Amino acid sequence: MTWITWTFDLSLAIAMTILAWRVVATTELFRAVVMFITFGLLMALAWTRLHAPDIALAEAAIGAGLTGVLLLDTLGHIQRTGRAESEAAADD
Amino acid sequence: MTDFDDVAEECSASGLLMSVLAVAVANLTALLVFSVLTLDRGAGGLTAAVMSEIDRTGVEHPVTAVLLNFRSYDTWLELIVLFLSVLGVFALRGGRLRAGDSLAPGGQVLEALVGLLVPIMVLVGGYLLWLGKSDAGGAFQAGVVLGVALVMLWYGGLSSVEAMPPRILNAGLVAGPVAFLAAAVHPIVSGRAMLQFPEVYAGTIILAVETLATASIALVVACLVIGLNTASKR
Repeated sequence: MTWITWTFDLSLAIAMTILAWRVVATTELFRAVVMFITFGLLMALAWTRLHAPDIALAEAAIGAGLTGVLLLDTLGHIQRTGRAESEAAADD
Repeated sequence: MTDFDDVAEECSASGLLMSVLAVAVANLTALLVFSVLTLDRGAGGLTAAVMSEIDRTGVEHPVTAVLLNFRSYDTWLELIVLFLSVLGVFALRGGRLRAGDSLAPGGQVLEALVGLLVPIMVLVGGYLLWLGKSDAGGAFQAGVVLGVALVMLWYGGLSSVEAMPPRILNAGLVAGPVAFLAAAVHPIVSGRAMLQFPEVYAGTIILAVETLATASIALVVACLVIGLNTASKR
């Protein structure tokens, strides 16, 4: 069983590193948000592997779920109005 | 000086700033890696100290004991921060919440999904709240699950927080922080330190505070999403 958990942990660590890099490096906002949510879910898995179920629950609910919803919402707002809120305020 | 020189100067200035930032971030990363590698893994942190006193906290789960008893002051402040975030949204976007339109009007899949998931989420939320006493769970997780259930109702075009009478909604939003205030002040009146729960009632006090905090967190989550969304579709 040890090698299974080792393989799992290793692929988790590699996937998270790549995802984290892609989240900040990608130029497409929608893709960045989706990858951020995915990163949050993997992060929750990582906390479970570190025997911290409390943090895993909070990460899945708040980090991936709630933050994801708020980010998608903001993204929708920016795409609808074609600009960020601060620019809109500056024009008034 | 031409515009071109201005731009060139700006670029080199931001280039300098970027390299300073890069060096700072690299140093910080090296420091973090170093401190992780030199962690004393055998020590186990404060686990022993928590476990030796856990019988007096009124709960069985060490994490809940820390969050709601030993360090309940921090949890109290976190609840106030959540409340302030909603105040911020209301202040910037207006406090009137719009009724939700269904994401898919007449869509049977969304309707069936909301009808199926919301009762399960209420059940899971209640279970997570109760579970906090003995295992991983508690007010924050339960509150987020219930809050997202409210958001799902809103996206399904059904009544959610916007249909609540404003007074009840406001009372619900402050219920958690106020419950903590009561739990903090009561020991002072009876001659103990702030937030020092009497051992006999500690479990009951924590459950009561957590229940009200769950309600507050659920409403905060729903108001954050729905409040932002209300404004963006104006």
